[in-house]
Amino acid sequence: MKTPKLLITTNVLILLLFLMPLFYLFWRFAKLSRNLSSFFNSWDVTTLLMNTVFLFIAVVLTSLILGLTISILTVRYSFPGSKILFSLTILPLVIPSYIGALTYVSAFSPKGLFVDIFSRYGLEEIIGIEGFVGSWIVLTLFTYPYVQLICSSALRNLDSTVEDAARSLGVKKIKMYTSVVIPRLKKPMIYSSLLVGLYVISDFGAVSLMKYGTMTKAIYSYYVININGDPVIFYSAFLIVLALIISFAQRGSEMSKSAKVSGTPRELNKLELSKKSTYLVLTFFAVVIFFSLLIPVGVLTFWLVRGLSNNISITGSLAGVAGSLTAATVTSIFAMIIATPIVVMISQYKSKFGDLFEKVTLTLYGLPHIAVGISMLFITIKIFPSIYQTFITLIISYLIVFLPQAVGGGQASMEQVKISYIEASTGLGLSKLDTFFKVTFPLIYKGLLAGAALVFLSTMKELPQTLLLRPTGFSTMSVDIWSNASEALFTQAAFSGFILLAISAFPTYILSTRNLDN
Amino acid sequence: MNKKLTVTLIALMMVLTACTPTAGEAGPAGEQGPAGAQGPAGEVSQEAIDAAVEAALAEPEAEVGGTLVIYSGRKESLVADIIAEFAATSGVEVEVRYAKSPALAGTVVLEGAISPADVFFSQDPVSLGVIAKEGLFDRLPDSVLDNVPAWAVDKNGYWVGTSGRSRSLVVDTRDVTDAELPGDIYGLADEKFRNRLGLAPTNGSFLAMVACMIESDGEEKVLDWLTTINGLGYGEYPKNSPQVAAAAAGELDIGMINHYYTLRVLAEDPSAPIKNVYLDGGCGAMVMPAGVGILSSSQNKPAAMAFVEFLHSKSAQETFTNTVYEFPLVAGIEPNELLPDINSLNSPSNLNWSALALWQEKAVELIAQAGY
Repeated sequence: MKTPKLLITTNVLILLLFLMPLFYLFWRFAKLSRNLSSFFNSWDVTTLLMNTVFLFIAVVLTSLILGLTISILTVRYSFPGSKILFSLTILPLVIPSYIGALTYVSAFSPKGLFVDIFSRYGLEEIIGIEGFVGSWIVLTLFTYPYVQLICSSALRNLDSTVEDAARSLGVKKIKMYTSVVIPRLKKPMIYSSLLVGLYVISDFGAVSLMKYGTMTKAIYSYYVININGDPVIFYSAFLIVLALIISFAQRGSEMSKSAKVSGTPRELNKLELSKKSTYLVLTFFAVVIFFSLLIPVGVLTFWLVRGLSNNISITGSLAGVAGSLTAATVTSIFAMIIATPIVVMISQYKSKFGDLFEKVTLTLYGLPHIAVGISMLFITIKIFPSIYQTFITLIISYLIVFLPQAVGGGQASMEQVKISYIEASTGLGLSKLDTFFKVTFPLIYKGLLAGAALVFLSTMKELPQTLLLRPTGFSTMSVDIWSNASEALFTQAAFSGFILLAISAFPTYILSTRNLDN
Repeated sequence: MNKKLTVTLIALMMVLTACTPTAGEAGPAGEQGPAGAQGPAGEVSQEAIDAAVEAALAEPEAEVGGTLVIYSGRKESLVADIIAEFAATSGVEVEVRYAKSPALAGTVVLEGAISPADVFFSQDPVSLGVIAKEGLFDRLPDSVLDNVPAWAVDKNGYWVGTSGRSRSLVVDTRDVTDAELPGDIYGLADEKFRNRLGLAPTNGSFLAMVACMIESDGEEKVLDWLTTINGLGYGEYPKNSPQVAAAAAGELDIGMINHYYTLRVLAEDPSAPIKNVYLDGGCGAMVMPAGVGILSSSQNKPAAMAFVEFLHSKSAQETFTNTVYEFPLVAGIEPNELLPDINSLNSPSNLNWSALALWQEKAVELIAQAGY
């Protein structure tokens, strides 16, 4: 069936609009007067690039180990509480890196909460986690759930008879995982690594708070000092290129399809653990949950309780809560509306054009927010001054980076809509538009809603774009946390942090348990 | 007189209604002002009303109103109360965008004629110079410029100082003797200070000091100084206040800061084992004005002017000196007792703030080149 022209036109227009920040940055980059080598001579480009790459490698490796271990334990072994432990280890996903980093910096700072405990045991050198180590720890703790989500679902679909066979042949446990299981999980592992990697190179909050010089931190520092300077454009464009490379590599890995069908999913016989091993496994989970959930939530609680008992007012933070909710609601509604024609085109009318379109849309997902924010700032000032510093600009910038989540949600449910339904419907005399509203939409709206929920959660957490583009006087929870923390107003920061986590935790918990049941 | 009262009362009512959350209000939250700018929400005490009425009766100013957009490079925690007081007494509806001074200055330059800002309230003179250089400020009348000493105003009258801030060293009095301290900033590049120094390489005031050094001593000497300090080993801090905390805790011997952070700690705990040392001359002894300018593109210049004048009022000046521990600039205001006599400080005379703006980017480059 041919793709209707109206659909193509709409989608092309949307996409061109959404790719504008990219075009604009590259155009400005091309216009930079200096030649490329002068950048490498006069600034710390090499150092920043190396720092970014080191962090990328370190976080990806540890996240992979952590996420994979949790996946294997929860999917292949039976032990008390495995279901709830699975969900609890997913939950750090809702903690934005800047909250995580903030609580870690505070807890381990020279005057922090844990100093007494450490110095009692002569561990002073742990005090003051920052720089590379701090960024590494914090980013690992809040990104390993991506690996866990992807690898555990792949593992669940992996035929375990091969493992049974290997076991009956006397292959030792460790060896069995390294030689039988992990090789077959290669694709989901690569896929989730790159996802974590994208998160790492785009992260702004954690590296800034940890004072580790990566590309994102450089963009922001140069922005603060001289927004019009070449470095801002140079580093933004450079970072986007880096993100695009990773993003394309990830698409290229095509993990989902092959991994999901490599074997017949069947009722698994979970292996029993010896008593000793059970204790070991439970200790492992306790440690992971302690560092990834209890420390951040504990520190926030401590600040809030301490501040409230000292009668520190938190009413100033209420506007931020309202701002976040408003922005997230509006963004998710528009994401749903804009995603619909894209989903219809990609899934219903299979074509080369649709494939290309899908790739481009998904690419938006990996764009570093700070670079998009910088670009949007320039575009609105130079080209569309009438929407500069308005709510509209903020929402558009959110939509640019979060639209792929809405499209993804819609696509999943669109698989159910067979082209024959549409043909039947049009054959029975319904117009294309009627068909859409009576047949297609009722089948896909649930998926779109799930996608919109994701957009809602992401928008609420967003920091760099919000900092750069928000209207004067408009604040969100993320901005409040950021600015209050930078002025050491921890009670207020903790209050916003708490609400943010509370709102995000519930839907994430539901999503993760649903994932487990499927 | 009666009209004035009416205006004030209407303004107060507006403030009151703005503070009371109404159930039917479903507009985007973006249209609500920041709660901080209006003080504790929902409460306007009788005292505040009396004060506002009194102020309105006392000051025979031109009538102002409408909305005033302030880009404030000064921190919210320091100036929110002063701005709220201005809003309450003038009846002007105020919107404030808080960010770092250099970021706001760069933004204003980028915005040019479309800038939504009416005034720019800056932490440092260099950021003001960035805007002045582009010709985006209105010239201020002599009546305003004459309120403060000549060193604290722009040579062309584009901005005016509101309070003074001096560079200083915070020292841990347990580990540092006066005798071992140098007279100027270059003396810190000495073997005896190995692993004893602290600085905040991205802090605006530190950058301003480096810009001043480039202007007066040339690039080469500054790069040499930066490289030596880096080689000696230094404590890197994100900003000034943690250096003061570190000195008080005995972790840092000497930190390069602005003077008021130390005083803030000493005001709370007079027995803290730290003190300020003011260098004798050179850029390390620089006294910088924080200041304000009115943008040519402003749509509400009467209110902008009223705000600038308000920052020179007794009430604002006393807040600057007594809660922020800065030097008041308007004659007749008693400086806080913790402050040294500003005339005893040996700041380089005739500093051209606009020239420093030109060196700002070079300062960043040199700091990066020196390996910070």
